[in-house]
Amino acid sequence: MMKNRVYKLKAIGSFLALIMVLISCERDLSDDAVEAGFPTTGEIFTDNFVAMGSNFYFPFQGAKPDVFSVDNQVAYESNSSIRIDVPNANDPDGSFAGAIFRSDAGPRDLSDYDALTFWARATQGVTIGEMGFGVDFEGDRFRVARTNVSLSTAWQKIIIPIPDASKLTQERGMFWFSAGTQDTGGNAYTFWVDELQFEKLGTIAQPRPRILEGQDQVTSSFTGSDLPIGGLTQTLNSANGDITVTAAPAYFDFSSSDNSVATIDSSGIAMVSGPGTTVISASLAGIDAAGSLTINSLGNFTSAPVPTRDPSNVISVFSDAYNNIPVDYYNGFFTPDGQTTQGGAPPANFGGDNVITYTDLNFVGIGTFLNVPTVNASSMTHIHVDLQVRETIDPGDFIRLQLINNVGGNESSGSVTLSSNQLQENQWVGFDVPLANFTGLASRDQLGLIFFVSDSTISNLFVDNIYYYTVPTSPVVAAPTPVDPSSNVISLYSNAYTNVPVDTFRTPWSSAATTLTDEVIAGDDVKKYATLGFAGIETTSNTIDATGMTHFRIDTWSAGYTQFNIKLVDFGANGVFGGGDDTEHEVSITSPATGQWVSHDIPLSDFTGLVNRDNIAQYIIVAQPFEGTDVFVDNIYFRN
Amino acid sequence: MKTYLKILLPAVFVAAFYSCESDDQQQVTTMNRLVLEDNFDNPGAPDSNLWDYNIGDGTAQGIPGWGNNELQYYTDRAENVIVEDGVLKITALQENFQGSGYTSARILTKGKFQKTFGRFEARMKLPWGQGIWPAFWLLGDDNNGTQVWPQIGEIDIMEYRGQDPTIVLGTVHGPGYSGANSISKSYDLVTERFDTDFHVFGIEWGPDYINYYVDDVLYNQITPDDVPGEWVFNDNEFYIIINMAVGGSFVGSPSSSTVFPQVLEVDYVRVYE
Repeated sequence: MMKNRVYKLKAIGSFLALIMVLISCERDLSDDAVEAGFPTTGEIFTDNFVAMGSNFYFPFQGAKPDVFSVDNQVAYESNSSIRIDVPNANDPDGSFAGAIFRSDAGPRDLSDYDALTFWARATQGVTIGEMGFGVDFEGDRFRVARTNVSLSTAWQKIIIPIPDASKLTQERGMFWFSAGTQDTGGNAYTFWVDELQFEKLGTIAQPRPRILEGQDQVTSSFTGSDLPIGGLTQTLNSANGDITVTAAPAYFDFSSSDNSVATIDSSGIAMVSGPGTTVISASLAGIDAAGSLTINSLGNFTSAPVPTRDPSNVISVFSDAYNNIPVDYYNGFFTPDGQTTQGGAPPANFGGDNVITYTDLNFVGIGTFLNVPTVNASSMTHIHVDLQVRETIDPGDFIRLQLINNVGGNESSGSVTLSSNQLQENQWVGFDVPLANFTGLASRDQLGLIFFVSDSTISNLFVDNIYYYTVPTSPVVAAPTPVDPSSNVISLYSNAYTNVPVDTFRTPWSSAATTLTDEVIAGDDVKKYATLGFAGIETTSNTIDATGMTHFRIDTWSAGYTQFNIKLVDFGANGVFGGGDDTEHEVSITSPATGQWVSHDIPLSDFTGLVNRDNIAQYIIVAQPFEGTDVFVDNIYFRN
Repeated sequence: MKTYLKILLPAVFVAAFYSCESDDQQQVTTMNRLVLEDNFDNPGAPDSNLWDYNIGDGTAQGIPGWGNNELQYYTDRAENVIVEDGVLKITALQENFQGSGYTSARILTKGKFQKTFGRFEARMKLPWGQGIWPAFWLLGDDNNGTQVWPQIGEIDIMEYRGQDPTIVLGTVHGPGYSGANSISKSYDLVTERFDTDFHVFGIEWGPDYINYYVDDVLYNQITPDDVPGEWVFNDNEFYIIINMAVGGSFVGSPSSSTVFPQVLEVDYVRVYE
């Protein structure tokens, strides 16, 4: 290709150039026969705006809107320039100046240029946060920003290289800027821009694109996760040195080494689609970008169990099941204090399930004390957290939960250690820790930090469903209404059925501490056994023949039981207690869910000692801790 | 402009346009009888009939850092100097080698091709980046060590700072005008760069004049009137040196943004009378 060069001998040079065009270089001719496209105007503002139409100025949201004017007193060339009056930080109309200049005369073809250039000066030495092009408020597809542009009181030429001009065949975002007063202590200043135009400098070369700021990163993930690739920059060398700009994803061509593991779209978001390992890389205009992301996909992600507690009894710090309170951070990065923990900033999203994934864990804090309200958990009784250790668990490994109240004030804290035998590798384990167990936590009205401490015994930890909760002392909802057909049921106690005669719901020999009252919960009759130790229910007058039945059903609700037992006693052929023909069996339910109705639907075959079922007369309920908790009972019946 | 006008009238400009591929062939010269040509067409080491090497960091020659605080160690290894793809490649590497942080190469025709007067030119694509200093230059014969620099004379046909990718310099050194006091002029491409395409760097040197050109642009003439000392370029024989230095007082040290390796590509070296 012939170059535009300076011919010192102009006549001969021009003559030879003419001959050259005529006799050779057919490529030049065919190159010249370009298809009709958008205007290739490069000038944006010289002495006035050029081919920008009339409605081209659009301020950013939150920016002071009226910062822009054409100044007819100040200019680099001729006698006018673009003037931007950056407001004081406390300006009620907006704390900063920021706007786009969008061509109102249609898009332009900028593909033959290599830079946006302009001359600029300011009323004082100042750093402009961002200046660039490609922002059109219609997707900002080809956004480019040069950050921290240093201006002085003298005019200087600013160059913003185009990462790949071949992309800009129809661009409306001619110029944009965002300028605050961080440098000036909040004080207003003015800067001017003149001779604003796209140029073919010819001296922009040596492209060095980067993704992830040039780092080769490795991450673990799961099917369904979306991983945005950030840190996109293009560095070009100008006659005066390197210039780096941040560049929109649309300038890059992304690729995934294994599309069965993850695919990546043109917006630079990697979507994990299966197990395995893939490497995400990119190029820009055919030049490989420095930096990559190796994704080790572990396949399908098993979410922690979805919490079921009534939201009205919960203060949630981190859970998809609840509205979470605002936090300062999920990782405070207390690096000066020796913290090594990475992750949590932000939490990972595994196919829509947000999970905090800590790596290099030694300790990490979740803060609620800097810019958000502290947590008043005075009315809460427990903290719940789901933990999944993502590595082999050795004896001696531990996770210590620590809560700190009134951080930096009248501070108090307490901790509870979860030992290795309570944790499981690659399995969620839910912990419900009474807040009373956090010895030393004098108050919990201003909780500001939740710490997870492993002292590096455990490095990789997933955390989900962090919430405080209280267990109400009585149910607020009715027990589930039974759906078994009444013809298949012998009911002792249920609003859903006609009940058989029951002699007593509390025999005199029941625990003395256990009192029975009839309650109505949400319109439903229930039996409340306060401080239940054991209590007897009897149908001695009319023993029940359950030989045609298959299951025994009883619904219970308790705020705090850890075990619930039910014993059935058949009085035998003589129909009375004793006499050598009684048979019985007790079924034990450990760790029943608390704070909610639990329907026990027990096969009668589980009552193995209950040899006879034709004269059932006694039903004994037992709770642990013994005489330590109230138990509400409903829907006692046999069914088949 | 003074020197420019001087040369304008007698010069015959031969502009040789070959084709679209063979650009940059315009010469601003009068001497057209070819007396030396290396087109670097034979892969391998440079032709030993013409080229020799300087090895080391200058210490053995009594000038550590080659007299300029340069940082590289010159070798004759293929990693640093090789003919391939029709060009001579001198490559600067960032590596610890014999106590230096960089390696590169310097080849010269001392004792193999030396000449007084002539048109010396090379077609080269230059490296780039802070602290990179390639040069194509001539040094006067020292008459078996009986004469020393700058009395022997030095004609720098092309010097270049990698951080200024559009600018080259042409310089002469002699007694009373050496080092910082040398007679020099720069040439700025303005709208192009020296590291993205090949360009021709040359001098036409005759009695009492040295003309400097880049491609088809004659940008300087130096005559005895321009130097504040003895004109040492009418008698002595000079030999050719091509090298790439890293760091040094002329160019400054590389920075973290300097990309390595850097390659100086030479398409040809030609000498005419």
